[in-house]
Amino acid sequence: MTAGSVHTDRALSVQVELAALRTERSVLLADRERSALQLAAVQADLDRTSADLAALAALVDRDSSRRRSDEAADLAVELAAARRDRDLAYEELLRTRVERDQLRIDQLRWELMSHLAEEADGDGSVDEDPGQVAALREQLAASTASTTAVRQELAAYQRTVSWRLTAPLRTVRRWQLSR
Amino acid sequence: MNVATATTATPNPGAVGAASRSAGGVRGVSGSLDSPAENVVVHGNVVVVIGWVLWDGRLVSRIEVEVDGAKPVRARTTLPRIDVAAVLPDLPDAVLAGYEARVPVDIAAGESREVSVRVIAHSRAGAGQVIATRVCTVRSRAFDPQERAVVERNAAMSRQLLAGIQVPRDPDHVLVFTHSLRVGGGELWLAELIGKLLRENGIHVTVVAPADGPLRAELEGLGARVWLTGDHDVARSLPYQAYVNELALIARASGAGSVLVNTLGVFAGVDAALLAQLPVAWVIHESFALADFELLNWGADGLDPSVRRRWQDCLGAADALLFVADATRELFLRYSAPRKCLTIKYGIDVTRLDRAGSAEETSALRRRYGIDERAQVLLTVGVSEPRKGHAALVVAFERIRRHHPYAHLVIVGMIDSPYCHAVHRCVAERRLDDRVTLVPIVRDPRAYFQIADFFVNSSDIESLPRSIIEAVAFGVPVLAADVFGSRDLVVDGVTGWLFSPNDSNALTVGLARALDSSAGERELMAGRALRHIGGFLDSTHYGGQYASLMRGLAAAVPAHVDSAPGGGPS
Repeated sequence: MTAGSVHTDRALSVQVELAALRTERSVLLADRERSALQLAAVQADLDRTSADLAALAALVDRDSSRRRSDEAADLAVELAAARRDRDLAYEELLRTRVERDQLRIDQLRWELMSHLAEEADGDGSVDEDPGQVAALREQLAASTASTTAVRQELAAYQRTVSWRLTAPLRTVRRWQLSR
Repeated sequence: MNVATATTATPNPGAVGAASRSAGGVRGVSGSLDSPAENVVVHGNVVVVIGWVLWDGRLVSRIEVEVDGAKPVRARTTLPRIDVAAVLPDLPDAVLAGYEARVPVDIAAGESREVSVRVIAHSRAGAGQVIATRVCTVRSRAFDPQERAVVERNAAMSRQLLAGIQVPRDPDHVLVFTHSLRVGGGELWLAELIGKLLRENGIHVTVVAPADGPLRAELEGLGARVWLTGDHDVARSLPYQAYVNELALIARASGAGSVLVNTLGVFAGVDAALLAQLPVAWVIHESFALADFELLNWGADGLDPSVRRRWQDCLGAADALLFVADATRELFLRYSAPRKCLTIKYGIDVTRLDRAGSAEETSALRRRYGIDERAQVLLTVGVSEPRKGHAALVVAFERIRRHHPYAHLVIVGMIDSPYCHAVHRCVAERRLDDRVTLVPIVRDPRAYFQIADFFVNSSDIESLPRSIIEAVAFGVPVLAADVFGSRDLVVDGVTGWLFSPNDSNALTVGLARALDSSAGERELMAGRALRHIGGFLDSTHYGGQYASLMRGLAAAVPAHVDSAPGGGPS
């Protein structure tokens, strides 16, 4: 074997090896290309998913915010309604009080007039002239009639639906406060 | 300002003649509607209805006033009318036949509207009758654009000046703007609060007030600094803005971390805090509509419209609005956000009010005051003025005196005023001297609470009456007019008795209901009342709540800011 043939053999083996490497490189490049494409596809998927997630989150957030806002609006409406109911109930209470007070006033007048009339019938010690006593008796009769009428009206009122519906509330409130 | 001009008005003789005389006395309705006159122009946004009425020669039970068909408003009744008494000398009730109602009308600045007024009287026997109708025009002042421009220019200059003041803010330093240093309900409340902030909560306090008064020494003794500004005309926009600028400079230079404003009328203090960019809490004790409050303090159409606008804007811009009663809070909710409106009920120093007196001491006190030992003593305490309803109370007392021969009424709070003179006259003419004791105003009414069997509050305007809290603390059952905060303190028939305000029948029945109760029932009621308000009765909680609130406000605002958005009439 000569020196020249040795050189030729080495060059040949290097060329073979180089060719093999080039082949391998082109395969690797193709792989990389494919991987890059896959990666891009995955990235696109990921982006789409993220966008979907973000949209979903926004939707959930909007929904939750809307729900909270709806709840707040509902509560505000309920509160306004409760206040209106309370005001109506209070007005009803005032009317009832006026009726009760009138009954009691009539009773007080009746008691006073009876007392005065008794004194006038008895020893005549009351400083009333006969005309005044007659007027008092007249007022007494009117007062008694008025008392009866108002009492009937009050009894009718206490039979109304609103009075009966609010009865448990009154009971509970009294019970709570008396503890 | 007192708008009770009814005492000087001339009665209408024609209207007096409307009633007829018979053997039984005067029959029918007599009276007159003095204000508003027919087709008159009413300036401002409140219709003031003033008149007098007698029904069968006697006082009526109540009067309602309707303006433009809106919900009727109850008039204040049993007001002195010396002029009517002079015309009708044989009718003992004539001297108290006056009535008055102030009805706000919602109109914008510069607007004018024709409104109808109807007055309805309700007799003691329960009959109702329209006694007068009127038509008048309500007119509110318009904005002055030129003055507004000057004010805005001044406000801008103030902001520049304020930007140059760089003083570190101390969150433990509270600047207080208050209306007065005299002795009154709002002032005493403030003095007590400042004492608690200083002594128990480590807060420094600087107080700014328009004028000197007896409370200055007390506040300085507690350790507060007091600054007096002199009186300013807040009704006109230019002086108002000048005052706001001055207060804002004081606020920024003081180094305070937050501002506390005391009472509804001190809105210039709120405006100044906003201009100085300091957090501000505003304590509102008054249960008045703004229009009514304006009328009482500055007269009809008294505030320049731009100042009135700032007042309303301040209610919305303040960081916190603080109330003493829920009903008062509700009145102002329309101006602010609910989360910024807080109710903090005040208590009292219960250690001072311990009812330690023995039965012997109570008897001795009764003897000293000339009151029968067997008497059922009805007590009321408070500076006597028309809104307190003391004349109405005397009249109602007269109506039940025959049914309760041992009842005795004690009114503590008489002063030298036409109203108090009328109350004295009412007692004398009804021959009640031995059953009604009228006492001048006293600083310490504890001895009177000690002799009381009942406490009566007949006032038609109250937020959270301190005297009711004191009565509860003394174990005295309470009869009160059903107004604003009274409802927070008394539950009718459970912890006391309530009656409808400005209604003679209601007050009379209230007295009868209370006096009919047995000693055992009263004791139970007093015990329940004590439990009912026990959560805030003792004021030890109060200073701590305020200290936390003010520190919280100070912490929520950055220490340095450069430009101020608020301030200046808009």
